[in-house]
Amino acid sequence: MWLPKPNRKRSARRRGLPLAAEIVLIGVILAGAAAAAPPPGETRSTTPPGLHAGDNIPEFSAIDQNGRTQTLAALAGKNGLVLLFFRSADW
Amino acid sequence: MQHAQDRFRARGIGLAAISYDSAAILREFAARQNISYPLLSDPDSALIRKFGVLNQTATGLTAGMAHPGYFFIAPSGVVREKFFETNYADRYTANNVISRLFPELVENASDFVSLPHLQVRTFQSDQTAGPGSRVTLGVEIKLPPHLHVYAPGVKGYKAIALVLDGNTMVDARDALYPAPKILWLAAIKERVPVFEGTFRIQQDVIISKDEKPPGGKISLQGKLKYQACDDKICFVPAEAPLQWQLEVKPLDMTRSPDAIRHKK
Repeated sequence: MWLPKPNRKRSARRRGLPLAAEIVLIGVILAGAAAAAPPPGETRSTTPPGLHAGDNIPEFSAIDQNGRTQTLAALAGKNGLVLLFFRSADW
Repeated sequence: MQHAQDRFRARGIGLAAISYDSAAILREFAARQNISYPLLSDPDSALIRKFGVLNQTATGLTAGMAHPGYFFIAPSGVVREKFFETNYADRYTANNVISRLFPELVENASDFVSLPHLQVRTFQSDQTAGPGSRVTLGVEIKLPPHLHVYAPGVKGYKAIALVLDGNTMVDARDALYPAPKILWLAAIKERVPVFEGTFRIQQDVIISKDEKPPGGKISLQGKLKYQACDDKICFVPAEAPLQWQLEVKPLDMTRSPDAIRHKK
């Protein structure tokens, strides 16, 4: 069972920031991003994306290039699995 | 990656890759590139989302793609380590991930060269890598018994430093030093951070996506600066030139056959 991590924007409201302040904050962040002018399709950020060390990965099963169904148990060696996320094999 | 698979396997670690491509695209790609490790298809990006690595700004053809990077996952399903760049377009190489998970597996190392008071050899995670790849360069230093060099942060002494000369072909990150040992010097009644024995200094560089290196080769120069001491005296500070060679291979721009490729 995968549960979404608490969203920073939402937790700001929980800490009592009024909605208007949150919108302004987002506005500032977006303006900052525009000023840094990342190439199309890319975002600049100071934290790497995704699950962190210590998190549990979601249960998964996926089809591989040979049509086989793969799971963590099937893919991992006795010391684990290195899972590479890549952008595309097409373009 | 294919070569990396054998190195991972020898360490009891499986290797798999995942993208938003269809199984048909992955089959064609695996055949063309001679890839035998599993390529997992996540055509609706459901897994990419669950791992939190969806590129949310991608549109059109690229909508649904993942940020490139690696997770190292224990058999229990716990993430042990992650290797994702903050600049999402940059990528760690597979060999770079191996050298971080298993620092003892130094590949592409030169022979040790004797310098005043110590021996040094250079190493690098990859000899060949594509534009945007993150490659680790480094030096391994071997000190004889009873000698030490000062670690960064020392006051009043010359700390060892790996200094890379500027080069427009790469974006150099900060050099990484191991945790120092704190040495008590009775003669001068001081506590000082030092390195002893054999240790490594690493320096990551990201190969430029814009610059085209002449002949596809990048020659990176640097210096090792240090001052060796024993428990009584310090020797004259020394400096030695260092060099690493990188070959830049162009990215594979071949697209899948028309019938199976991503549509806008």
